Amino acid sequence: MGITASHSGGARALPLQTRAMNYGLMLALVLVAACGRAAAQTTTDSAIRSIQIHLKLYPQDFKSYDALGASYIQKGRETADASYFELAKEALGKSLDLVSNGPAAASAKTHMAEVAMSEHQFEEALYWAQEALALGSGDPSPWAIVGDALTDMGQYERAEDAYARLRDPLRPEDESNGLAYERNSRMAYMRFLKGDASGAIQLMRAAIAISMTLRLPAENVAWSQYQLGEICFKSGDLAGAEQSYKAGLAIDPNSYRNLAGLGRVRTAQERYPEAIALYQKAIAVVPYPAYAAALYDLDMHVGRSADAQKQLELLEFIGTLNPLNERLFYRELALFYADHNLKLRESVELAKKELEVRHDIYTWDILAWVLFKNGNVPEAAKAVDKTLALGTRDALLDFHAGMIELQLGRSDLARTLFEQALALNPNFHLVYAGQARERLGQLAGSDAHVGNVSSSDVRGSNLGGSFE
Amino acid sequence: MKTLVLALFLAVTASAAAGSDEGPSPSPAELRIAGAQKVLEKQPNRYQAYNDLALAFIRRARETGDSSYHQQARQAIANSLQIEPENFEAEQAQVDLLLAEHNYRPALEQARALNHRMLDAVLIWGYMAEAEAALGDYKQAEDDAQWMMNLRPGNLPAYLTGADLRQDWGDSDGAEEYLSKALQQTPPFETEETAWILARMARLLRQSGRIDAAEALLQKALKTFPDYYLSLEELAEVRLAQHRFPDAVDLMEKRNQSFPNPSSELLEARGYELAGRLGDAAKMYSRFEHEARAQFGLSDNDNLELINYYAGHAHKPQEALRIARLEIENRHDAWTLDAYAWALYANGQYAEAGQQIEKALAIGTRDAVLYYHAGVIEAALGKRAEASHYLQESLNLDPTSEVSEAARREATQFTVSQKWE
Repeated sequence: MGITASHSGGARALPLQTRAMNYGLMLALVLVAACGRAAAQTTTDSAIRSIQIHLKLYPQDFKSYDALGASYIQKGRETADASYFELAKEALGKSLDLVSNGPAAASAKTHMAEVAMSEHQFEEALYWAQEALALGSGDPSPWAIVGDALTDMGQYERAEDAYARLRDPLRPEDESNGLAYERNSRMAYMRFLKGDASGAIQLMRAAIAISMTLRLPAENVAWSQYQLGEICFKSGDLAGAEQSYKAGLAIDPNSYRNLAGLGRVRTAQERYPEAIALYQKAIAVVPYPAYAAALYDLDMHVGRSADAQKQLELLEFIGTLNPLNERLFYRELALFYADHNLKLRESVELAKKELEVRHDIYTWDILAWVLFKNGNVPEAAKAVDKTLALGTRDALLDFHAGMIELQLGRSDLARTLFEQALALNPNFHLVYAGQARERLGQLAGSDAHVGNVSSSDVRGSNLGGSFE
Repeated sequence: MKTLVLALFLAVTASAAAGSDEGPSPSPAELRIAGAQKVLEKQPNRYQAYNDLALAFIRRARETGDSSYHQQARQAIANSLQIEPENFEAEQAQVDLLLAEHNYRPALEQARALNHRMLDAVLIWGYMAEAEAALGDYKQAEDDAQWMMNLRPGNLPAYLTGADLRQDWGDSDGAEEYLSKALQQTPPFETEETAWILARMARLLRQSGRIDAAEALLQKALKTFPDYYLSLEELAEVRLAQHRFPDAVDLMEKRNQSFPNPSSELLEARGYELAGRLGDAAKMYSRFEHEARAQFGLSDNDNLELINYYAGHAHKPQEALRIARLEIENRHDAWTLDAYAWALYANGQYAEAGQQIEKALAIGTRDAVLYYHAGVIEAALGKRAEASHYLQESLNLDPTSEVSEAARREATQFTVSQKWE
């Protein structure tokens, strides 16, 4: 007589996605994955339609409502249209209306957590992920969202603890399953944040290998390649970044993240027309403010001021979107405004709004930068301390910190930060890489300039300086 | 849904925040109660929130040992069913409540009906297994528990149900393995659940004589969920096994400050007795008897303790047998069979006692008290080899059990008498 722990079947056999993505056994992903990689967007639509038809026949099928919610999340990821997250919530709510207790409800609650993450509601995401875990379904994947939420809340140690739990309880040593993919891809980011770029790259490559083996949906593999590209770019490995972004595009030609990533590489390589074309393609898929901002800078850089004006209008439009969309872009808008000396007071408000829910180092960086641009250097310096607390090796962070230290008169520290930024990636930014070199030159020539940097004058004149 | 989620979320976070300022943090069940109530304030016709509330009350009863929460759970279920008759989760909560109150037969009937409605509901299979095991149908319980595991490999309720069954079958290593897996899966914020599992693991360890390891787990349990009555009870058992009787008494006095039950009072009485505080012991035994008798006709009772008490300490064998006969009509699990056999023995009905203890042993349960009873009954039947074997097994299994000294005495006497023959 005896009960044995079954090793067959179960939620872990199917592909998983990461960061505002789907987990567990989901009809939606089965349909998406089954229809091939190249047409993820259309297959997601097909999945949605199929499930909707099924639900007309079986309106009490809580699993299908969950699958519908998951498909809407996937659609939201593919299109960056936040309205899909609202649809996802509605479908998941129906699923939970039917079954909200016991292991069977864990999937819908996990998806609720994903929606909350996608909407930057990090505490709510944490709540739902914990609710899912409390049901004891045997699927540890909600720990990924716990970790993600904690990361965005700046609680990195706790986040790592959460990621460490991403192991199949039945096969904890298995390094090739979906949980290993989730764990590696997230731990890669943690390594990067802690200044270990090579460790991060190694883990991200391992995650990509798993994603290919598991035949994850194209969008997810492309996302992983994008992440690797980002780490490579920030580490100054342009060739590696280019390779990753291209690999992502080979899998998913509509991957707007990889289009923009490759655009950034081309910018660094001073291949501006190609960079512009890539950003234009990315914007055609998803008009992210960051892409519009980059394109604006490029257009200005090559003297296409009329085109630049269109990007500015797009950014202005994004700023007037509904509160949900606006909330998703607080950080990007704040950075753009600060970088271009536009709406400086508003940039602080946006950064502070973001800080209400998000305490990761990048939010502190934006706050430091907008405070600096608003002339509040002492407060900016406090924020910089938090930005650099983990020892992250990111040239842009170093540049921002260097400018603030320079303004505070700490020239040695500023010099080190500028040198560090350029050593890491000599082409880290279209404008700021040159600015860093310029400041270093000034510091080498005379220390008399030090401590006299105009916080509203750090952009090159060819980018238009102040627009106000 | 959006508003409700937000309300729930805000309620939970607000409660958590309030807790951090004003004293101990709210327990997991308290947070869920607050969350569900907040939702119901906004939407009083939301049946699913009543279901959540019911389950939270049932869990709160386990957290505190205060069974009055069961009544609140019952009311929440009634409200839910009034809004949405026959809704699955309300009926599921109803089964959960029936099991919490040890109403095994109606729980099993209702669980089977729900199982027909939704075959892949993991919890329902677990409820059936729990009820079947309690009623003595171990084979069916095994099948149902295996379904749980197969439907959703590695799920936490399946590990807990499996651990119970493995323990009943005498596979304490297997039970320990499942409890360890359950513990690994329990998120750290589920503090009561963690402590509950740790206390169960500690019991397993203590019952196999691994006292120090049991103590370590209990210290961890008490750190995780402070002053948890189940941890205090189990630690008191550990102290008794260590012959630290005054410490055991302290622990039981602390435990019985809130929501004592007859079992916990019996343990306190035993502590007083062993600590030499015979007056306190007598009072506490009396209290136990009074309260256990008051619960006699209820489903959630301490009748097995009462049977053993009458058969042993109180020297009222006839009353023990009367209660045991009533009890065996409803349940045939190892513990009921054992208590019945012991009551029969106390009344000199050795042959029938022998039959019943054989039935209990056939299940496979390995327990020092059960083996001791078996040894004594076999001795009374003149089966010397068997008697010697079971007494020795009792001592081998747990050399510090509550019957260890008696077992040792019997075994020695037995050996001496054998020598003279």
